[in-house]
Amino acid sequence: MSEILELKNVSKQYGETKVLDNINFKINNNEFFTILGSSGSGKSTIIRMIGGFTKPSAGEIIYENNIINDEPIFNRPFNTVFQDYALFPNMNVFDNVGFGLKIKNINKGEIEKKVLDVLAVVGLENFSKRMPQELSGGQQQRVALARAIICEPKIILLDEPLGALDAELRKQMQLFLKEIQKKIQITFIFITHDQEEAIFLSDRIAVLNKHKFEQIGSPKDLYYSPQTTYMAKFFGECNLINCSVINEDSKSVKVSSKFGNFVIPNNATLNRDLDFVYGIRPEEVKLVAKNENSMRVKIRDISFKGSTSTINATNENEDALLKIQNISSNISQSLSVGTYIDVEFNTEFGSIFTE
Amino acid sequence: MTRSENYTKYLLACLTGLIVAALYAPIVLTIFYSFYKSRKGKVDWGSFSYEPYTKLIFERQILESLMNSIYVGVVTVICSVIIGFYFANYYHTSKSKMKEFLQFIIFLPFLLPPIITGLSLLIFFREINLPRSLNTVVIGHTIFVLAIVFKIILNKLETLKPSLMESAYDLGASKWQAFYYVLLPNIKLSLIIAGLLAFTISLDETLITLFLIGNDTTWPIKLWAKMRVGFSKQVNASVTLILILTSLLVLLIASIISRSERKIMY
Repeated sequence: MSEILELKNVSKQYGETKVLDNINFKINNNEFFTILGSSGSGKSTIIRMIGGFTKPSAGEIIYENNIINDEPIFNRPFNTVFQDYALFPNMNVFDNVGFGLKIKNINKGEIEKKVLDVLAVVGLENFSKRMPQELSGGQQQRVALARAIICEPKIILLDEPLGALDAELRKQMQLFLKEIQKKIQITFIFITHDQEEAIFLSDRIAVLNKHKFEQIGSPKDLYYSPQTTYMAKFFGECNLINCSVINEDSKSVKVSSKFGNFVIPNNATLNRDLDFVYGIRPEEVKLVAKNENSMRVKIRDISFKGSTSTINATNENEDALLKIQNISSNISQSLSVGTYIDVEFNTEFGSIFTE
Repeated sequence: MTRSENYTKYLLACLTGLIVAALYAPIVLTIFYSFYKSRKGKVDWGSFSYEPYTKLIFERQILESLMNSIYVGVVTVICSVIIGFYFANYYHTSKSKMKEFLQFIIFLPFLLPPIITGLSLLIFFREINLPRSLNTVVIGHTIFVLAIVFKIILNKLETLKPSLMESAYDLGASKWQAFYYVLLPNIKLSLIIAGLLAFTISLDETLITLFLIGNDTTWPIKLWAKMRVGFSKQVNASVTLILILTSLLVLLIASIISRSERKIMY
């Protein structure tokens, strides 16, 4: 896949306040790329810098091998869908959508044809004479998207476009966005604070935390190979266990932990110390019959979730907690709080964190 | 409802009626006496005539002063709306700390007693050797009404989302195109209202005008001068005309506002 946009060592400061610190990423053509972060993490600033509404304090924004830091907004082949839609209240839907073409002095007949085409794409062909105030939130969102699409930008920037919609409509619009992005084949850079939304929509996600990217990757990468403990806890839950190496050979490493000793595969490419944090998801902890690799833990509580149950267990000293998920309720029914169970880790799904 | 509650209701209604009557009686009487004559406090019902109105046409001085006032009003509206918009837009978009000072300067002439504003302008014009004329009056009025025009336009600008102009730029508009196609249509109403208000204020402004006017005269000053030498029916008639004119203006403003509010209600 060819690369379309790159941010290189980009930082942004307002006075003394650091908003973004050394941001690096590359975006491929036709990709649905999501920047995920909590409010105030600086995610909107990234999109505003790409769109040209604000300039980076340091670093370069590179579009197709040209640095575009100083390129004025109207020269950039990107269009933005704003969080508050920003439709022009003095124009009807048709004129709103046709605005970008009118500015370019395209003749009326062509504008009309294109506007009606794009309105059909977003499913609003019968609304062209309506004023923005007469439309629902979801419809306004579609108009805003149509207004961006019609300019045939290379990238569409979406700044939390679904933030103002209620849950039901949000679901519908997510599906709509995903389908339309496939249909029109334009790169989307999407901003959200909603994890589920990001996972559902994106080809790749960049997670922003404390003004920096924690990790960039496909939703599956982020879930199964988190690179930091923050990321391990970010999507779903993860048991983080402090470990020390007892001995190792080329194939496996034997480590000790508060829950007992266990063996993990030795991944030579991984750079780790003798002490590290091991991350294992609650559903990758299995109940087993006692054997030489199993660990004995004490049940603290069992919560019934229907067909499966979740167990919180502690070690012998009760100073470390282990969460176990997806235990068939048939099995958990026969267990009781305060008794001991033997567990093993599904070590092929575990992660090692050296921080 | 009990009987005493009923009485209270009627009493309040009467009181309200009296207050309204007291407020508007002078205006009604002015109109009334532009048509009828009175002798020793008694109305002469047989004396109805349009004469003061027809005579007014031949009363060149009053008409001339009225034309002067309209000229001053119109030029004041044009100047104050353009300058007011410029300052309001600057105040709205600028991050400079100086903008608070700018607002203070704009409001000062409006808040100061008009006598101070008038006098200081007069001294200033003398210092720079600008002879007094209708144009100095226009400058004085513009400075005076600027605060209101500025505030009305600023209020409107502050209701607009910043993303509105950003999206215009984003779709490829130049600064001028964004102003013409997006900003102007959205603040048009506030410009009209500000202009109409500026015109009404300018029309009856007397104190500042008194200091700044040269050999010409504006309508309120002419009336004032005429009253000193005795009442004439033409004064009544011209007041009635202006009353109708300004009422129509106010009605126009009100209808524009209510129409735009209905639009937003959708």
